[in-house]
Amino acid sequence: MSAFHFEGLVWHWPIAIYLFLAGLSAGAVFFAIMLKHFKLAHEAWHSPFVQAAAIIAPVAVFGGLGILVFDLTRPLDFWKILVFYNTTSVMSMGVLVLMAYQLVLFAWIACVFQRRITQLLGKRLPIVQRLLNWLVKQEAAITGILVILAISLGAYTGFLLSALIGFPLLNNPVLPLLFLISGLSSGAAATLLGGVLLRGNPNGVEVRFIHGIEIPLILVEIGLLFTFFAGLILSGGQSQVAALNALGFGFWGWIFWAGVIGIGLTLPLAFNLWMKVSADRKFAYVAVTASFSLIGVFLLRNFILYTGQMTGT
Amino acid sequence: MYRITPCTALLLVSALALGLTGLMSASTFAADEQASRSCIKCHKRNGKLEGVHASPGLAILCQDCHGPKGTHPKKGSTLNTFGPDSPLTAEQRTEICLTCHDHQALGEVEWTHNVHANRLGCDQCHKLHPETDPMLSLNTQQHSQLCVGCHKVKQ
Amino acid sequence: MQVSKRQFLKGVGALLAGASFYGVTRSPQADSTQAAEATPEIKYAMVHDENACIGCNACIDACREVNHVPDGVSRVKIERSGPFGEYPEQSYRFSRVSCQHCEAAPCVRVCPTGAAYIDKATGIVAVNSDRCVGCQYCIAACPYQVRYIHPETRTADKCDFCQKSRLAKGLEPACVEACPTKALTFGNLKDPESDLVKLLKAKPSYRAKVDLGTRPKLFHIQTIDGEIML
Repeated sequence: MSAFHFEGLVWHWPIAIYLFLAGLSAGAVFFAIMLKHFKLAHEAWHSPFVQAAAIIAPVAVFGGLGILVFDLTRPLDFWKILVFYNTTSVMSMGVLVLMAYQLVLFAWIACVFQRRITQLLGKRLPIVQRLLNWLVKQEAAITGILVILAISLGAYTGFLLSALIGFPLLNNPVLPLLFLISGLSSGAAATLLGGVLLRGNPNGVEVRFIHGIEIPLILVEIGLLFTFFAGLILSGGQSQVAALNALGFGFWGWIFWAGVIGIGLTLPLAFNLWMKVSADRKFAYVAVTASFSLIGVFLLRNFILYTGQMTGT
Repeated sequence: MYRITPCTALLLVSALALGLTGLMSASTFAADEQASRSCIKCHKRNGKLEGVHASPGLAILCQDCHGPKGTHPKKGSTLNTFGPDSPLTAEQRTEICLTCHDHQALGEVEWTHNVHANRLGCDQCHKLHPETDPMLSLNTQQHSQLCVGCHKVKQ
Repeated sequence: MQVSKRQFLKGVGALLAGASFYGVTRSPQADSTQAAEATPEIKYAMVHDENACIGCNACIDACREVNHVPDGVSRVKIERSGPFGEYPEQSYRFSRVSCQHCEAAPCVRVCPTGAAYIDKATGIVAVNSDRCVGCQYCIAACPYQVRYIHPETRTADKCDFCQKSRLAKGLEPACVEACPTKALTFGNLKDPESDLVKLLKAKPSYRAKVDLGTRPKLFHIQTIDGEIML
C-alpha cells in the first residue's frame, strides 16, 4: 500500500491544505484579538504582529477556500453550496460559518485599523468614513462574534472529518478539539513568523504574550494526541487496527513521530522553554520555532487525513 | 488487437520452460516422433495442431495426449478422445491435461477453474488444436455469458 | 461594559435571525412534487442470495449497459472470497457490494447541497446531479464505498435500483433480470405478499455494517457452503 494512493482514498492533500489554512486563519485571528484585548488596546494597529495576523487571516481563508473550490469536480458550480443548505451536513454548516467569519473578520480589521484607514482616505468617500465610525461603535460585539466564529471555524475543520462514520480514526470525538488546538497554535506561529518578518521586535511584549499561551497549548495538544490514540486503541476492533497502522513503522509512522511529535511539538516546546529562561529572544529563535510549529501542524493535517482513510470499519 | 493477458503470459512462460527440457532430451523422443508422424498420414485435417501447444520447443506428440496407438484404427481402440463424444469421464480428460498443467496455477489465473475441477473436462471450454483457444480471447461480457449459458435456471 | 454587552447580544440576535432565514432556501429533497406522506406505500429493497450467486458478473454487465455506466466505475460489484476447501472440491463466496439504500443514509446527511436525497415515495437513495458540485463528501461518508464520480457528468453516481432507466417502465432492475440463478430478489418491503418479504421471512438474512446505524435495505442470505469464518 503506497502512502498517497490506496484503495478507498477519497480526499487528497488539497483537503489537508484547506484544513490547515482554515485552522491557521482562525488561530491568527484569535491571537490578534487576544493581543489587542489584553496587551495592546488602542495601540494594536501599529503592532507588526497584529498587522501580520490581519494579513494572514484573510489570505489563508481565501487561499483555503480557493483550493477547496478547485478540488471540486465541478468548480464552476461552487455557488450551489452557497445557495443550497443542508442542516445535517457539517460541510454546509461550515460554509455558513466561513461566510459569516469572513464578513465579521473584515469588520474587525476595519475597526482595528480605523485610524489608519481614515488617514489614508482623508476627506474622500464620506460614506466609508461613516460606516467605519459605526463599526467602531460595534467593536465589542464584532470582537465577541469573531471569537466565537474563529473557534467554530477551527473546530469545524475537525468536525468535517469526524462526520465520516466509515473511518474509525476520523469518526472520533477528540478530533475536532485536536484540530482546534493545533489550528490555534498554527495561527500563533504564523502571527509570530509574520510579525518578525514585518520587523516586529522578537523580544517584544507580543512575542512574550503569545509564547506564554503557546506553551500550555502545546502541552494540551500532546495530551489530546495521547487521548486520541489511546482511545482508539482501547476501543479495539477496527479502531485499534487504524491507530496501530497509523502509528507503526512506515511512511506515516515516520511523519507522525518525527514530523508531528518531533518537529511540531517537542522542538517548539523546548525552544519556548529555553527562550523563557534566557534573557532575550532573537529573530532567528522566534522564526525557527514558529516555522517548526507550522510544519508540525501541516504534517498533522496530512497524517490524519491519509491514515484516517486507510482503515475502514 | 492482441494483448498479453496474465493467462497468455503464463502459457508462454510454461511453453518456454517445457520447450527447454524438451530440447535437452530431444533424441530420446526420436522413435515416438516417427509414430506421431504416422498419425498425420491419415489425420491430415483434424490432426493438425496449430496453437501454443504446437510450439516446436514443446515437442508435443499426438500420443502425449491421445495415448499410444494400440489397435487403432481397428476395433477396440484405446485412444483418448476429447470433445462431446468422448468415452472418457470429465475427470479422466482433465487428468491428461494436468500431467503438464498445475491446477493451482490455473486456479490463480482464472478462479473458475477451481469450481469446475471435477465437474467439467478442460475440453468442454478449451480447444488446443486451432490457432487460438476461444477462451483466451473472451471479453468480460463473453466471460459472463459463458457462465450464464450453463447456469441459467428456468423461470 | 454595559453597552458592549448589549451590542454583543444584538449581534448574536442578528446571527440567529440569519440562521433561521436560510431555512427558506433549504430543501434537500430534490423533486418534492408530492407532499410527504406519513406512511409511504412503497419501500424498495433487494435480497442477494449468496448461495445462489455464481459470481458470473452478468449483473454488472447488465447494469453497465442499461444505466450507461462507463468503464472504470461500476454501480455494483460482486466481491469474491476463497477458495475454500481442498482441490478438487473448492468453492468461493460472493457478496454484492452496491448502494444499500440506507434509511439513515450517511451520504444524504453530509451532502452540503441536498443533491443526495432519499426519494420519499420509494425509499430509494438518489442523486440530483443538477445540484451536485462534486465535493466528494458523500463518497468519503459512505461506509459501503459504493459511490463514485461519474467520469462524464463529473457528479456523484451510484445504484438507484434503475429508478430512472427501468422502474418507471414497470420493469425490475437490470441486475435482477440478468441474474441467471435468480440470486437477486427485488421488491417492496411494505407489501407482505411480495417475493421479497416472503423470502426474508423464510430465510435468515444479514445486512452489512448495521452497527453504524445506517439501516440498510440491501439484505444478504449468507453462504452455507465453505468453512466457518471468524
